[in-house]
Amino acid sequence: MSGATGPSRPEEEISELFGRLPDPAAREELAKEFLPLAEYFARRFSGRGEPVDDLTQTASLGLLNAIDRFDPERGVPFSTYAAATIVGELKRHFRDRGWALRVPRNVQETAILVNRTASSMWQNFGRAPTVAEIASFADIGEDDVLQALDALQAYTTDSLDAPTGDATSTAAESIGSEDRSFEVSEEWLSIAPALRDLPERERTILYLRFFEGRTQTEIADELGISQMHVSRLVSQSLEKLREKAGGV
Amino acid sequence: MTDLPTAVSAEVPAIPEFVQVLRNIAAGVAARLDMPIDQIEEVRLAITEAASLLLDEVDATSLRMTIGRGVDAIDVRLSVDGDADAWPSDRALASWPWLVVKGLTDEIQAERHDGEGPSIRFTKRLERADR
Repeated sequence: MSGATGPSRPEEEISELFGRLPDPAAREELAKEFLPLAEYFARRFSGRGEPVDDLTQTASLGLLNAIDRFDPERGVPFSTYAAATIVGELKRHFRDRGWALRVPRNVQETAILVNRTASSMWQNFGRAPTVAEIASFADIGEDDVLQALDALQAYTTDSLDAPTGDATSTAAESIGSEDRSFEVSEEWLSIAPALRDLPERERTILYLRFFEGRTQTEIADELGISQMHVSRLVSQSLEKLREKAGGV
Repeated sequence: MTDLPTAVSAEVPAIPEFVQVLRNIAAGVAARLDMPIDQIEEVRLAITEAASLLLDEVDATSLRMTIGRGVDAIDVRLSVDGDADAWPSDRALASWPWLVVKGLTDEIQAERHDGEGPSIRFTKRLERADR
């Protein structure tokens, strides 16, 4: 951290301000004083697909929380405490949006591009595209496509499908998926008891895929959701089952 | 099952975190076969489930994958170096992962070669729809 992010006032004045809390004026003074710290961390988390303004706001919220919860008696400098709180708030912000933080900028952007390209090709071709086809369409390398496809399976489905700006497809996806229920055989449920804990739609998809032997395309048609969405739901629900079983 | 020429073989420690490495290798081979992405994903999932079953059933230190590659199919064999009393056990054949791998692939077999631990082998055929 550079000196530019630290407070410009002497230590005693800062302590004095903390002593005056919960006085709103003192709180505001402190927030102003440490704003550069919040901005510093907001910038450090930028370039991951979230607008800097949102990040600054999130970081500022973290700063206010830090001011409210700081206990000078514990002997930790406020800037240290605030940094941890701000970073925590920023991480939560990303988590809430379904992005894994460890994904570096280019992978994440590539993932969005690949997701859109593959979805539209899938719809237009009536079959899944190949990696080479996506690569040439999106004008990126085949390895980048593969890496993106792998990363995509890890993201929460909703966060990816919601902000595409493609209102018709997302609206269509939500219709018809909720109200259909399938008779799932008890025998099948007994093979993996954790199936009962899955959301109904995921359980239905696994049932159609692995009990009735339907293809992803057929399931997508049946449920009125995109094939990319079915593919991700299959991966994610299998992962949930494995986690419950304590396996890989 | 017909034997396809080996394209890749790899060996990783028998711990869940390393299964990802094998998945990615197989996805790379499948992509070079021009497999559509839904089938590539199914290969990935099949490897994860098959590995999870092997690691569950066998106390192993290493996990090995051999991929045979044909014109329109890949053949994946996952084996572990440990030993199991009976392979495949009835429990393994009735398990959820086995059912999943079976559903994701065209052929599946539980094998044990001489001098090797238990293995699971599956074939995924390339479906070329309307090209």
